[in-house]
Amino acid sequence: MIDTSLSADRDPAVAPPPVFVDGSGQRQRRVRRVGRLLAVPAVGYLALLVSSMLGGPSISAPFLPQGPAHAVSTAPVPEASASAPAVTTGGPAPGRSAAVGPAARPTATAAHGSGEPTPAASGTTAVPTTTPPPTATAAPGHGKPTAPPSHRPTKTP
Amino acid sequence: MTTPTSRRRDRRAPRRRGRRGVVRQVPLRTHWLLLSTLVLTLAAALLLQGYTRHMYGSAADGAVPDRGGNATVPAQVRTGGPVISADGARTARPAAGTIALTFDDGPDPVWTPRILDVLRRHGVHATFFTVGTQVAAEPELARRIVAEGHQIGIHTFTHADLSTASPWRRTLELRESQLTLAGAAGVTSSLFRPPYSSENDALTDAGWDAVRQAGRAGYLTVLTDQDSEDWRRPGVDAIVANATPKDHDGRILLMHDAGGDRAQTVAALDRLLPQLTDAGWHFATVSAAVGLTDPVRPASTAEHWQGLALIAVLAASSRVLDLLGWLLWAAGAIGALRALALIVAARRHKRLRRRGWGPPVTDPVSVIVPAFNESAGIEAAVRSLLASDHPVEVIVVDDGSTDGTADLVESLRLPCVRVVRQANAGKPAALNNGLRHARAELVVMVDGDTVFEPDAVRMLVQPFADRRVGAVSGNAKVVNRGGLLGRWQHIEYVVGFNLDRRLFDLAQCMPTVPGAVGAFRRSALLRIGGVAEETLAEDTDLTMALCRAGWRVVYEERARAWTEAPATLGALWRQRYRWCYGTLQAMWKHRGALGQRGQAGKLGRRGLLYLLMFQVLLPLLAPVVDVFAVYGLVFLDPVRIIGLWLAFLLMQVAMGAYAFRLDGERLGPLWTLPLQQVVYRQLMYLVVIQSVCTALAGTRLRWQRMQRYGSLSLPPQPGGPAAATAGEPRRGAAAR
Repeated sequence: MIDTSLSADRDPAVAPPPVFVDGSGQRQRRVRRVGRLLAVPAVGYLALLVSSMLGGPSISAPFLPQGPAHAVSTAPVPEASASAPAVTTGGPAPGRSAAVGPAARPTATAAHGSGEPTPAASGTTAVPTTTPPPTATAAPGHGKPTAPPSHRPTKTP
Repeated sequence: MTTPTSRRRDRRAPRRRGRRGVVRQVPLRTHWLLLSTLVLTLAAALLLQGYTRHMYGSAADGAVPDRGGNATVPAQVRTGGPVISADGARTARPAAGTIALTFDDGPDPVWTPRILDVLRRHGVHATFFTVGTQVAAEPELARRIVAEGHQIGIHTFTHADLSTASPWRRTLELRESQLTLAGAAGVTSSLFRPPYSSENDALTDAGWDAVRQAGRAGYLTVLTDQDSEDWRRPGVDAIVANATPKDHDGRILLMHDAGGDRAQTVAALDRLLPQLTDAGWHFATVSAAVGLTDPVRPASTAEHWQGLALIAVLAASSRVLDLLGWLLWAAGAIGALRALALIVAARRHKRLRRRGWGPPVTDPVSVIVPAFNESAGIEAAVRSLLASDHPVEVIVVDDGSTDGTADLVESLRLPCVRVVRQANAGKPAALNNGLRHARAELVVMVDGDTVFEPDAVRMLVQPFADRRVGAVSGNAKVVNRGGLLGRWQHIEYVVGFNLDRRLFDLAQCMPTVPGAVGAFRRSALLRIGGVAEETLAEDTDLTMALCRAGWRVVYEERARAWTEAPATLGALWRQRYRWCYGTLQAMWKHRGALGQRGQAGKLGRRGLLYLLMFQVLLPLLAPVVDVFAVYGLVFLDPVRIIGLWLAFLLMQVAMGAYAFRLDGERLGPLWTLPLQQVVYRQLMYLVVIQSVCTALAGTRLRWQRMQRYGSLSLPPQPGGPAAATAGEPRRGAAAR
């Protein structure tokens, strides 16, 4: 009577299966899939993080013309800004916009190579004579061009 | 019922199923890989956030630290113009009559738009030196700066003082700020202004080194030669005065569009622009002012996407960090509340117990001792029971032991002791078998390796004076307290029995009567169908079922029994794995209690939720706590973190001390509590993770019986936890 009601005495085939156990293995596969869904963004995150640590845009400064700098203190005050902006177009690619920027470099680096940069490259026609001594100190720096010479020089000849 | 033949046929079934059968047997391990990945990702995110938030150079711009010498700074740089070429050899300054307006530290969600509005109103273009993290936070503003024709440059990623930074950090600062720019505005810029820089003659050796490194990376360094000093917030007039040049040389004027309240800057700018224009000054961007080709170039698609990725990564980590921060605070608060509740409940419980249970219970008691290979401890256990000051009959149910447990007990020829033998069928079956042979209405269940104190049985059954009480939990104590592991478990038992159980008792939601020492009404057990086999924690399952049947389950701390705790980490792991997984099973099985009324509802809404919170959810959060602790020590104020940790530790020690006092224990072992943080705590939460993953995946555990396939006749698994009999005293005695 009461004894037969004890669950352990029931026929094993009728007794309820252990809680959670999924004999088909389907749930395990689903859980694995969910785990992968969790792992993929995590790994992606790590990959992005590492990639941004290791690589970035390569920057190359535009050639710095020797400005009308030091003379200015003694020079007369220009009326408007007439002469100054003119200097900006003194570069090798006059009148071109940002997109052409890189094109300015080949000539610039070429000028570097020539070792006597100031007159050749900058074309600082505005106040050429006022440049501070671009002498010995300048030369060694030029020996090592800042930008790789192969970099996009042929695009806009 | 099941004939031998049908059983054999059934046993073949899994093999026929082929691969599926194999899958089922494979233990789930991928979750450790997943956990490692997630913890690693969290650590990386924290590292990133720690870097951007706490390495951020937040000192005021003008608060320049002590300066070193400047012997290595070339003379032409020291006296030259504020724009320094990449090779560091030449400098330039704006043409006479030209002012290049520059704004540092932005973009700022409040002030940058206002400054942009002022500039637009006056038709002036300026140059913005932006901080990478700010760009990542306000990409729209970076886009707007570029779109409105202004020039953009970089001011490092975290406003770091590059002169004191190591070379790798300088590279990182430049690279990351450039990437955020590429991502946000789709451009790159070769203009760079070092944070904390000012005029050329203030350049130190270290600063010069940073400038040269930036130059090698392709940057023009832009210093200043007219400082508005607006960072001091000296008042609008003073800013205007500072920003107005004394002569008519070209200037690079330094202002700020972020880093605090910039209302003065905005107001000063609004006055300055017309004033200087009227005085004949001309405003231009840096490159236009010194005659450069445009240093701002469109980023390549790859760079743009890489930058977007960095911004996304930053945003994601920031959000995760905030979320986890809140979770941790919540967890801390809940933990503190729990401690308070436990102490209060324990005090009340102690006072209530003084009242007693009513008329003394003197009915005889049947003691059921399920035993599986317990020959080592069974004699002591049985003799301790016979020494009781209460009339008992002892029923030893031998669950198919192979070490002669049953013979040993029989050879003792003790009075009032019966031995019942059964084929190995698991602890629940052994208990049911014992129940069937029990003659008394009051039944005590004991593990085969547990030793009772003489008054334990009497104490254990006194609560049955109350007709509503269906089961009583005793007070199990660890006998082997040597070593760290023993002491830790000793503490855990004392706290668990003297605080948690008293709370459960008061709240009438006792989830477990331990298998080592518990008393039941036989009729109540029979009415719920005896001990069920669906879970690995048959004692928890049984207790919950009793609660749901309307019985009260109480705690009697004076009924003491001594039990042996696992002596090795491996045995402890297996024991806890079974407990935790079994508890999860029982919780799931009785989840219906959540919505029930009466005693069952109390169990559901109080007991189950308490277990869910403190035995499942908080342990799942625990790895995060550990990662955060390291984060805090590295990036936050270590003193504060250690202080916080000490506070929690003190709370634990206080609770432990109180529990020890309640139990009349010496406080000595409490000194091991701080050490518990390193191995024990991790083991405990890893067990929970393992159990939850096993439950989710529905994996069959090795010691779970393959009921459907008639594995009842299979020999016990030698490697299973049953082999570690000494290791699983409380529940594992006769289980397989």
